[in-house]
Amino acid sequence: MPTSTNTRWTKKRDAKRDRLSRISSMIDGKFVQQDNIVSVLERVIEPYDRVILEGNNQKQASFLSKSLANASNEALHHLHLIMSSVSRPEHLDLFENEIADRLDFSFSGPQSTRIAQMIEDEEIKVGNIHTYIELYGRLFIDLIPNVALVAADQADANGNLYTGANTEETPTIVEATAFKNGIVIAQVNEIVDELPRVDIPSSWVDVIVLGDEPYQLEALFTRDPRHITEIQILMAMLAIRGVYEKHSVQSLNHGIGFNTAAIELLLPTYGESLNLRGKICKHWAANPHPTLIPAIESGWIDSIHSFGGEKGMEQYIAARPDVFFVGSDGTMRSNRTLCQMAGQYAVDLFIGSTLQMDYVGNSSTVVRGRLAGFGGAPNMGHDPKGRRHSTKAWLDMQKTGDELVRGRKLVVQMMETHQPGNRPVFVEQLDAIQVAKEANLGTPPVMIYADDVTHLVTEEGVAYLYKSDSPAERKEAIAAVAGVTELGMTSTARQKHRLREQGIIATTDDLEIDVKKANRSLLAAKSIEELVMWSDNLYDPPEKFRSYWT
Amino acid sequence: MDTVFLFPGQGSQRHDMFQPYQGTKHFELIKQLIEDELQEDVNQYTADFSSTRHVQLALLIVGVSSSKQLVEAGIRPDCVAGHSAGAYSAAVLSEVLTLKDAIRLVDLRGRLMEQAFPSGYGMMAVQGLDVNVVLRVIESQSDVYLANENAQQQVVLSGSERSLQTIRDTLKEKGARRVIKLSVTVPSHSPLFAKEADILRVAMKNVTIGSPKLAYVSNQTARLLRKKEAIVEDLAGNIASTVRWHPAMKMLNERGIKNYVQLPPGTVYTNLLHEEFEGIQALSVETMSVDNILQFVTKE
Repeated sequence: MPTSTNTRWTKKRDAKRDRLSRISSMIDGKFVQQDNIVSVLERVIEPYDRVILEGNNQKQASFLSKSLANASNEALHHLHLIMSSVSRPEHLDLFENEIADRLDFSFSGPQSTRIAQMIEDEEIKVGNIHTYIELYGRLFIDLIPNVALVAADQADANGNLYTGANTEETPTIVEATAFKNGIVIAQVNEIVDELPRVDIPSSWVDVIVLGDEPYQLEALFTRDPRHITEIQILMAMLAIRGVYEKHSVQSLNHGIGFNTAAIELLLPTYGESLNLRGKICKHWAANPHPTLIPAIESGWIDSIHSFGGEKGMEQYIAARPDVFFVGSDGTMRSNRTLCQMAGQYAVDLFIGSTLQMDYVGNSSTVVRGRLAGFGGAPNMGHDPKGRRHSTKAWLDMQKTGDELVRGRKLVVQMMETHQPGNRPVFVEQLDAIQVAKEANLGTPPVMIYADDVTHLVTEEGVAYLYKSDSPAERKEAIAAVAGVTELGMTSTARQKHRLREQGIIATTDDLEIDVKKANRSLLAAKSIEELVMWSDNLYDPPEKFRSYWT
Repeated sequence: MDTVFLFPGQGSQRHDMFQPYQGTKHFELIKQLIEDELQEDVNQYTADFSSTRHVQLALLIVGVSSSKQLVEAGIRPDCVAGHSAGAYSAAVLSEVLTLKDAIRLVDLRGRLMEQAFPSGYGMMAVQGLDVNVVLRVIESQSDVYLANENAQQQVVLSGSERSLQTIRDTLKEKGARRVIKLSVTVPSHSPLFAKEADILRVAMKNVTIGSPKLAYVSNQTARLLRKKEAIVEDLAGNIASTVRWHPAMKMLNERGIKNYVQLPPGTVYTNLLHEEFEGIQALSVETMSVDNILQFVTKE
């Protein structure tokens, strides 16, 4: 009979105790002094550790990332960094200074040139460029962190944390670390006697430090309606009429961007004129976009669950608890992991924009010299094949005669066919394929795979790609709405006619859209000031969006 | 890292470019050095720009005089970037090259370029067309090369006049707003200069190279260089490869550089930066006083 008498089952717990004992002279309860943080990091972290650094596209553990970058590379080297977003200069300085050498991540938009260079120069070994859920999932499987560096708004004397509207991915990161004997270090903006509520309990946290300034927070999802163009308004009309109304889309995700901001601002005007209130767009997995305010105020929206908060929206959200997820203290709680999962499994529709699409419908925002990753798009922009619950929109996508009655999620891509500098939007081969070769990536960074895309909306019309039977027909359908691009020029009048007859494409005429109405007067709010008015003055726009009227 | 100095290359020269510096300490010093080293009067450089050697030496004189003046006024860059010939001024400020060696090397570089292609070659600027589209067009044409990537929609091509003429219409068809033949007779920054780059590499072996006091932005790779060997290779080799200015500016921007100070002459690079990036300060010495620039780069 095999025996296990020689096996110790508490090696990790013992190691954690050992690591924490190295800072016993510097710690008071869970609190360490700001000035000691570099030294604390150097003692608690060990070379080759997997370190998850909290930083997504909005909230950054910026004091801890700066402090880690100031560590000596004799004490700390070969770290394996895990972060959902590579956003700040020091994130890459950590590699340049040979503190870290491996990286798993999801998004790198703000550092896309430099990260491409560093991967090419082999200064960074990339594990993978993940979807969010995939990265979070692996934190519990084979990328379990040794150390987590996170950010919170407030701590109380016992070490409980309040993360509030910007809770985002903190609970996920902390859970994966704390319950596997990793060490959780949190920077906080302030230490208070009493928290509004506890978002992270003290027993999950090992070390707390007061940051030198509040953590970095970007108002990433604010779009000034002033910059919405008439083409975007036309495309929004096409999406509302040709996709949302046609399939009775009840639940959906909108991301960043002027295309979707235009849709949000057209619901109370154009949507109302089609009598669609209460029939579409009731349940959202989306950040609290200021451009959603007019639709909320007009009674379009039942619920919104959010990945993160949005600067300036705090008071408005607190005053609309029937719509948003709000704690007993009255402030919002977001959760990136749960909202990504909801956006993956529980909604009818994902809609997003892209920079390039190939002739069969694969798309990517990675172009030569820029490795941006994709944020939430690949996560939510695919059909979760295990879905069981049916809705009209989902069932609309099924193949006729399928006895198993399996629908599909609607994955909609929006793109203007003409881009600055005549950059081609429809390409025979995505740049991503060449980028993968140059950067030695295992898989080309495709954002959304062709077989997941159900609709393409351009200013020329809607292509119902889910109806096409073959790659050749998909290409014809894409070409038919590709305007005066190289691909678009291959589409003949006869082809277009046939595709319209079969309902594979629809133009503004087919959808009875009055193109003359596609102008800015159709926007429910035409400026940030008007959004503030819609909100009963509860929306408090960040400084950079105020310059227009102060 | 907060501040970068940008040194202009050819195209920015003007006949009156010495004027603000005449009589200043550094200008007079360089003038004297050139008289000793090359036995030439520097005023002939700005009088006659038909010689690329004149232009390059004139840029060195102004680049070095103006940058040293800024540093003495308390404006200290964290790194330096020079466009093509401007890289030699950058290398002087970074103390990789002594001024005397820089004069000799720029003189040699100018001579090599003048001797190499007496006729039949040239350069062409393409505006309003994405660099990736331009690259696809030139892939199908022999003897045409990407010389400068100045902005996402602003590039310069080098090659034989015949080939440049051939692709001119294609570029227009693809949507280029302007295609302008430049008044130069050499295909700079193309592999056609491989031999000349080798001669410069040999010449670099005979000068004393210092360790950089300031990080140096590579023309060829758009990387930030901190090793003198890599900087020397960039200085010698840049005539035979693309000046990747735009990716270099993006790289600096991603590193968090906020102040971009363009040395004279001209404001070309600050104009490009204003068009491409938000939240930065692009300041040109030609249009601002030194005190003003100091205020901008030192404010919190």
